[in-house]
This record gives sequence, structure tokens and C-alpha cells, in this order.
Amino acid sequence: MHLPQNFRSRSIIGGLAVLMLLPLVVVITSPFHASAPEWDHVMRDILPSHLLETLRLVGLTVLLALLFAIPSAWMVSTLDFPGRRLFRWALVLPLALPTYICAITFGSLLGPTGAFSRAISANTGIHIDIMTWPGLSLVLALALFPYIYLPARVAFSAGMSPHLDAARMLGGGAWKRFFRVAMPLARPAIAGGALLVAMETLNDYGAVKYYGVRTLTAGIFRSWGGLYDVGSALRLSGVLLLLVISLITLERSVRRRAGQESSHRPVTGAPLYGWKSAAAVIWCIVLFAVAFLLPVASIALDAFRTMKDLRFLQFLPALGNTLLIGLLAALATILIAVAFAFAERSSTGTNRLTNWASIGYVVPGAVIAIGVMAFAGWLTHVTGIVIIGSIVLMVYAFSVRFLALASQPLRAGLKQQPKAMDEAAHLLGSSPWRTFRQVNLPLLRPAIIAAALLVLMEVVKELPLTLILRPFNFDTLSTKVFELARIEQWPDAGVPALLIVLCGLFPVLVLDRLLERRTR
Amino acid sequence: MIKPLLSVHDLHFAHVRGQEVLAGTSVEVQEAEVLVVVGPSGCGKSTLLRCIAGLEKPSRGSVTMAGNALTDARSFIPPEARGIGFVFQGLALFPHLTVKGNIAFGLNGLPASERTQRVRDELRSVGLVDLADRYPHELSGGQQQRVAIARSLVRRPKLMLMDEPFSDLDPKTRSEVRTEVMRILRANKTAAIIVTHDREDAFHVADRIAEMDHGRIVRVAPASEFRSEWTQHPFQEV
Amino acid sequence: MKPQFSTFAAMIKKPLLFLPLFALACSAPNKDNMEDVVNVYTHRHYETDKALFALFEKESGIKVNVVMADDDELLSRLDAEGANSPADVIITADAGRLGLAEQRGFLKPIHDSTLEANVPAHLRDPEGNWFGFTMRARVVAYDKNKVAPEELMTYADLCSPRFKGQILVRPSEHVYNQSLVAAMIAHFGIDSATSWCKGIVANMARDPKGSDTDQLLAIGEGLGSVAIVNSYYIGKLMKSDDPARQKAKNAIAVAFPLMQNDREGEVLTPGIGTHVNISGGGVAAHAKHEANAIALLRFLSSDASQAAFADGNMEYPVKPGIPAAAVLQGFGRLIPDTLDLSELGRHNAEAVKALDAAGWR
Repeated sequence: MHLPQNFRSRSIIGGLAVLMLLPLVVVITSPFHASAPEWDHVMRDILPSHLLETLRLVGLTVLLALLFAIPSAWMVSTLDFPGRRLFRWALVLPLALPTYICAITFGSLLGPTGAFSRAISANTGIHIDIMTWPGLSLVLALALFPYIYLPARVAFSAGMSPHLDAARMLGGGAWKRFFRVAMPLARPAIAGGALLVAMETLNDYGAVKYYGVRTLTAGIFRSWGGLYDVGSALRLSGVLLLLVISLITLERSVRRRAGQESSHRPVTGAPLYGWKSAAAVIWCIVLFAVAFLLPVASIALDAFRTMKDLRFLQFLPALGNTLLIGLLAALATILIAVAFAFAERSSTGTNRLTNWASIGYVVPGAVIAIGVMAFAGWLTHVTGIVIIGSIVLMVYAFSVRFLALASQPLRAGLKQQPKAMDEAAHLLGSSPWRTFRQVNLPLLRPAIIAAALLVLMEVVKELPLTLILRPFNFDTLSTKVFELARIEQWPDAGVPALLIVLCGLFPVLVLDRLLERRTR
Repeated sequence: MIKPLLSVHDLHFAHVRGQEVLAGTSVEVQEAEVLVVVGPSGCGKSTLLRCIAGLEKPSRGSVTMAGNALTDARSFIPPEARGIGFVFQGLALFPHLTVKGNIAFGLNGLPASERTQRVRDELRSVGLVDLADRYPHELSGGQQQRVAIARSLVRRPKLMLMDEPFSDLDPKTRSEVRTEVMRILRANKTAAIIVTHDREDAFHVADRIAEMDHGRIVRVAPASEFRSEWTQHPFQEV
Repeated sequence: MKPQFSTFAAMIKKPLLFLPLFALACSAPNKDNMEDVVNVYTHRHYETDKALFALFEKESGIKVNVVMADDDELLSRLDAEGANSPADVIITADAGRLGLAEQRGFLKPIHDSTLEANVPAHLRDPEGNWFGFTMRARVVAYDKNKVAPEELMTYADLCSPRFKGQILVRPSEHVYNQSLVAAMIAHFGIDSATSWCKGIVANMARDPKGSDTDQLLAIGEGLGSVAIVNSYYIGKLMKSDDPARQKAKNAIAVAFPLMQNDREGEVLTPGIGTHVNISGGGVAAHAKHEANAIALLRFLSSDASQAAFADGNMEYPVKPGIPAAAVLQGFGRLIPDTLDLSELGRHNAEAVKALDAAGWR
């Protein structure tokens, strides 16, 4: 199709995509330019064990997260039982908890010397230890399952009613309706969520380190910090990227095999009675209590106990910085994601680039930091402008890291807008850019807000990029938590940890509302 | 013979890796004439419309309107510059804009006062003055149809393309809308190509009818000729 | 008709214009090169350090700007910044990383009589690239009801079948496990160090996990009877009034094992004491405020600072004559290994290989 502004928009979009990809190119091309003196050792003694432990950790975590998410989403969407409306949003809340805080909290409760473990072993003689790899899977699944729960809930609620009604008229019982109709229809949504869970697990460093689980990300840091071999660390990042690319391919194939949503009439819940109703209530209560109430109560208790010693006000600047950097990063990421969405919608021919640009989401933050700093150092060398240690560079790094998170809701939102609408605008004399701005974008507003909130939430929780790229004297809540956790004064981290959770709750709740409105 | 308004010559079109949807389609439309294209589904009716509109680029062939080449071997005029109106199957109204907003959308570049005036005239001519501030989902199917037509007509196109314009309506509304559309088209002296699979629609609106099959126009004749044939074989599928 | 969405477009456009301004405003602290400041990159994240910096600011009128991150990331940042680096002082918590920083040209040699008087020669770089400020000893905490102090004279004693299923230690990812093995390699060679690692793995009570403090708490719960930990975590545990830590506090005593490769050895090699690592710092190669940087380093080696490190953070002071915290002294006397500390960095990669070969998670 002929587009008058094609060249200009193509170069802007292309430039942005290259900017997003540059730090990653440094990583991917490292085998060709960085020497890796310890690579033989890494291949023999690190890669096999770490790859194996990565695969089993990711596998079990995704499995458990599916187990927590799907029945819950099914129950709150298609059944009716006491408290259903409450659980519907409450089960989203664990998303506000960073995985490293969850891991330490569960360790302090159910670890070998945890408060609960001690009580249990004193009474029964049984030693409980959650600090094993299956235990870590459980903790990660509890923290991450809402990534599957949310899209599954939307899928079960919207567009499914005619199919479910039809299945019912054809004599399908509840189980049959679930396995033969609902699951296949919801598969793309669930696959997308499972991919996010897998990526978050791959990217985690704080929790795996504390639990002594050897994942590829841990191997990257071992090569970097222990073997003094950045080259090998970058090569391992390349292996991690390959793993992720295969996961993405898998997700795409699952997505392609499924059909489209059709109607938007909400599903009316089928009432449950007797023991079935009680079982549903108990399932939801237990899941919510373990995934959210328990860790938050423990953090709140720590915060309360240490509050008298710590000057509460000392965390105010960190709170301000957290919100500032979160908002700026959300804004920048959204602008780029919107530009890419426009490029894809109006087929500027840059799709391959923009698709790849999202891969930053799976690269460990510290590795992105190397790439970003290498780029910034080169820029300084050429132009004399020092941007390392500036907010600009932090915002840039966050955009690289979280672009995928912002792009996903925008893509999904655009997919729901019929292409004929764009064509109608075209025939009415509207340029592609005007069409996008005045037709697609206004309709995309909920998706844009959702995307911004996702980024904001992740930046609030993010640690390694913030830690290394920050300006002088720039503390955020997560660096505060890290400083205190690092010197093994975990209870003192209660106040900032609680503040992180509170900062995260707001976007999570708004996100939930937005998705609900789309469903209704 | 009078010079036709639109002349389509030997159009070829194929989707990527697919078989030819248009295999040498040729057809002409006179000024103010309503041509109805009928044919089995998958015969290339909709693709023909999209090629005339410029939404698809044919691999071969030409489209000429009022003596100007829109599509040929050398030039390709973009859809927004062709002065052709298009009413989509399913209408594609902008859900976030009011009736007024939808109709004004295509009047970019005019002074505000003139734009307001033209929107008001158009609303009056399609009888939607009272509904000007409603949103599409607050309208009935027939009303939505009129908005879609008004949105295109307000740009004063010489030619309207309509893809299954009556298919989503119940029988009673259908005949009302049909009459209404014809009144508007005739009043504006606008030529139109209407794609449908319904014989009744074809009889009621067509000056001429073109029968299409496997990407070719196999026969063009005045509506009356088809009418007598179809009455003799009432159950044959078109 | 005015389109309703123009406000939406404006909503997106306006912040875009403000973004660079905002960012400039936020990064302003970098720009005050003319002022009396000293810019510090540090791996240390202790309240004691913050209090000391505040005291230094008050006494000298020099503002201390801090970036705190992990050693390796700080080194990467220095690498990327090159000659434009704003850093004046680089502080790490590992002698190996100080050596690495020196090799890569991030440090500048300093000859200062105050520093040379305050920091003993074996705890600083002979060229003056870096100076140690505190020592941390890798010691063994043990359950005094189950283990006798004579059983833990050397690190090699830990490999005895006596401690089968008894050893608690954190993952080998931790730098102080690596530097302990690096010191063994420096003294006895890679083979001896590898077999020591294997001996430890064979005696472990469980897969390595958690922090040093977690190992100490595990002794309290009877999950093992000996734990390889850093001295200052023991000090901090002893100071804590958390009731959950009471059991561990009651059970623990501390051994200061000596470096010795042979458990059966009759005579200990003189001078090979308990493994220590240091935290220390130096002046950055491209420091723009060199005088201020030296002033800060001097301040950190002064009596007041050294006493604060000892009492506030439970580290061993380097300045002769400044006593360690009373809690630690109560456990016994530290005889530090006098190995040239630059050896730790030189053998760190080999140490990781030995740990990997032994299967120490």
C-alpha cells in the first residue's frame, strides 16, 4: 500500500527499534568480539548443571502456576459461590509482591530455621525446609500465578458464553465444558501468561541465589563475578536468549492453533451448593492466604517491630524516587510501544525489527546494564555527553527491559479493532498516522493505561538495573530493601518492603478494574 | 456509446501463495448507474470492490474513473485520493465517535464552519438530525446503515462501493433501508457498485446486474433480463 | 467540529517535551564539579558507613556523593565511563576486586604518610593503589555442646569424618567462600584446595543455601554443629535481641582455624593464620577531586572511623592499637593470615573451578 509518510515514519520506527536492540546486540554478538578465557570450564562444569536446574525449575514453576491459576479463574468466572466477587480481584494481589521479597519471607517462615518450621518441628519432630528447588518453584508460582490467572479470567468471562451455552445444550457436563470447550478456547491467553511466568523465573536472581538453586542467570553471575570472565557471562546470556526464543516459538504455535473470541456477553455463574460450594471457597481462601496474606502479614509484622528504631521519614525520598523513575519509565516505554504498535498497524515494513525489540524482557537486568553502559560509554566517547549515572539512561534501560510488557496489551487491543475500520478511515481521506491517532489510539486507551501500569509496577519492584545505573545518592525502595537484606538484617527491610507492596497494589487494582470493564 | 464513469479492465489479483481471486475481470459503470454484482461466495466480488477502491493492488489490469487512471501498470492512486465511497460489510463505524463525529471524520481540511454546515446537510438528507449526538451502539441496525452511507456521501464521491450492505438486517428493516439507500443515491446522482448474494436485493436496486464466477464477470445485463430468468428458475442458487 | 481526541494527543505530547528537562534536573548532582564534593562508588552498604560519611561531611565541609552497587557492576560501570567517570573514590569489600580494579587501571597510586602509618603494609597495595580499612575473618562457629575447640585447629580439620553431615555453609557463589579457597590455592596449590573442597562437600549437613546468619541459626536448631561464616555476622547475631535468635546465641562458640593443608600435620607452618579478606578502597584513576578523595581515605583510617567499624559493624579494624568489638574478643584472638592479599584476586577464577569440580553448589 502506498503511504506518503512511509519513509519518515519508517526511519523513526527503525531508529527506535535499533535503539531498543543495541544493548542486546552487544550481548548476542559477544562470542565474536569478547574473549572468554574460562569458556571451557563454563561448558564443562557450569552449563550442564545450571541448564538442567533451570529447566526443571521453570517447568515445575509453570506447572504449579497453571495449577493455581486455571481452577481459580474458572471458578470465579463461571461458577457462583459465597465471596466469588471478592476473590475475583483478591487473587490478583500477589502480583504486587516482588519475587525476591517473597522468597526471603517464605524462607524466614518455612526455611530450615523459619518461625513455622521451628514450631512444627518442636511439636511433631518433622523438619520442614522450603529452601529447596521444588520449594522455590512453589514460592515463585505463588508470586507469579496471577500472570496466568488474569488473562485466563478474561478469556473465561468474555466471548465464551455462547460456546459454553451450546456445549450445555449438547449435554456437556461441567467437566466436559471445561476440558473440551473452555480450555481449548482459552489456550492462547493461558499460553501468553505461562510465557510471562517462565520469563520471570528465568530472569530471577535474588531468590535463586538465596535458595542456592543454580539457574543460568546464577551461572551468568558466577562467570562474571567469580571467574572474572565477562565474555563467558555474555555467552551464557546468549544461551539464555536461545532458551527464551524457543519458549516464545512454543507459545506462538499454541496461540496459532486456537480460535478467536466472538461475543462479549458475560458468563452467568452457575450456582454451587453444599460441599462443592465449600470446596470452592476453601480453595480460594487458602490460595489467597498463602500467596498474599501470609507474606504481607509477615512483612508488616517486621515493619511494625522495627518502626520504632527506624526513622520512617528516611524512606520518603526513596519513595519519591521510586515513583518518579517509575512514572518516567512507564511514559517512555509506552511512547515507544505506541510507536511500534502504529508501525505494525500501518505496515511500515519494520515488523521484524519491532518484534525483536521486545526481547529485552528476558535478559537479566544486570546484563542489559552492561549493554546499556557499553552503548552510553561509546556515546560519551563520540559526543562528550556523559549520560551514565543520569535518569535518562535509567529510563532508557527500563524501556529496553520492559518494552515487551507494554507491547503485549497494545497488540492485543489492536487485534480487537477490525481492520475495516482503518480502511474506512483511509477511504475517508485520512493518512495512516491520522487514522492511528484519531481512530486506533482513542480506542486503545484502556490498553495503554494497563500497559503503563504494568511497567510502573515492574519498575517499582526492579532491582539490578536501578542499582547499577542510578545517579549519586539516588535511593529507591528496592535498593533500600536490598541494602538491608544484603547485610542480613532482614526484619529491618520490613518498612521499605511494605512500601513496595503498597506501591504495587495500586496499579494492580486499577489493572484489575480495567480488565473487568473490558469483560463486562 | 457514452463514455463510462468507471472502467475496469482485465484485473488480476492473487493472495500471497494463493490461487487467483480475480482472473481477468472487466466491467464498466455509467454515470449515476447502480450496478449489482452477484455470484457465489468466494467468486471474487469483495476483492473486486477492494481493488477498485485501492485497498488492494492488483497484479495486472487497470481501473479508470472519469478518464483518469487510478490503477494501471505505471500509477497507483492511494485509496484516500480516489474520491470513491465505501460501505463495508459490518459497517466499520468508529465506536468512540458520535454520529456527527463519524460523518465529520472525512471532511478534514475544510474550514470549521463549512464542515459543520455539510455535516448538518448530510444529517438532514439521511434523516438523522435527532440522533446526531448518539454513539453507534445506541442506534438500530438501519440507523447505523444510514450513518455509514452518510459518512461516505458527505465527501461527494462520484462512485459508491457497497459490500453486502443489507445482509445484517431483518426483512422489514431491510426493505426500508433498501428504499432509503436508493433514494439517497438517486438524489445525489451517485453511481454505485453493490455486492450482494440476495436476488431480491438485486432486483430492487439494480439498473444492471453483473454475474461473477471464478474471478470473472461472466455476464452483464439489465436487471429486467435477469428478473425474467430467475422467476422461471426460482430455486437456482446464484 | 473540534475532535474530542485532541486532548488525548496533547496528553501524550506534553510530557514528551518535559522529559529531557526533567531528566536534566534530576541528574544535576553530577554537574557540580566545581563544588567541594567527593564522589564515591562503594560496595559497602552499612549504616556505619553512612554515619561516617555524614561525620566526614560535617568535619571537612566536603559533600559525599554515593553510588552503592555490587563490586562487579561498579567495575563494569567504571569501564564504560572511562576517562569521563565522575568517581573519586572506589571502595569494595573484597581484596580480589581491588586487585582487579588496579589491573584494569581504574585506580591511581597514592603516597600518603598518614595512610601508610594507619594501614599495616600487608593490608595495602605496595604501590599505593588501594588501602584496606577493615578485616573480615572466615571463621568456624560451632555448637559448644557438641564440639570441642581442639577439634577445629585448622580448616583441614573440617574434612575429618568426625564432622560427617555436620557442616553448614552458604553457596559457593559467595565471594568469601571463593577467597578462602583462593588463599588455599596460593598456599598449597590447586590440587590440595580441590580436595579440601571435596572434603567439605562430603561432610555437608545439607545443600548450601541461605545467608551466613542462616547458617548460625541452623546451629541453634541443631541442623548441624559447625558453620563456616564471616566473623562480623557472628558479632551482629550476638548483639541482636530478636527472641528467635536466642537459641543460636546460647549455643555458639567460635574457632579461629589456621591455614594448614594436612590435618595430620604435627607442626603448623608459622605465619599461616586464619583467612581474612579486607574491605578497602583507593583513589579513582580519573578522580576530579583527588585531594578530597585522599582526605576521605585518611578519615576512614583514623582512630574514630576504625573504632566505628569495630563497634558499629563488628569488623576487625586494621589500625594497630584499635581493639575489635568486645563480643568478638570474647570468642578468642584472631591471628590473621599474612598472605599478600593481591593473591586472592589472582587465584579467584581457579577457586571457582575448584568449587565447581567439587560440586559445591
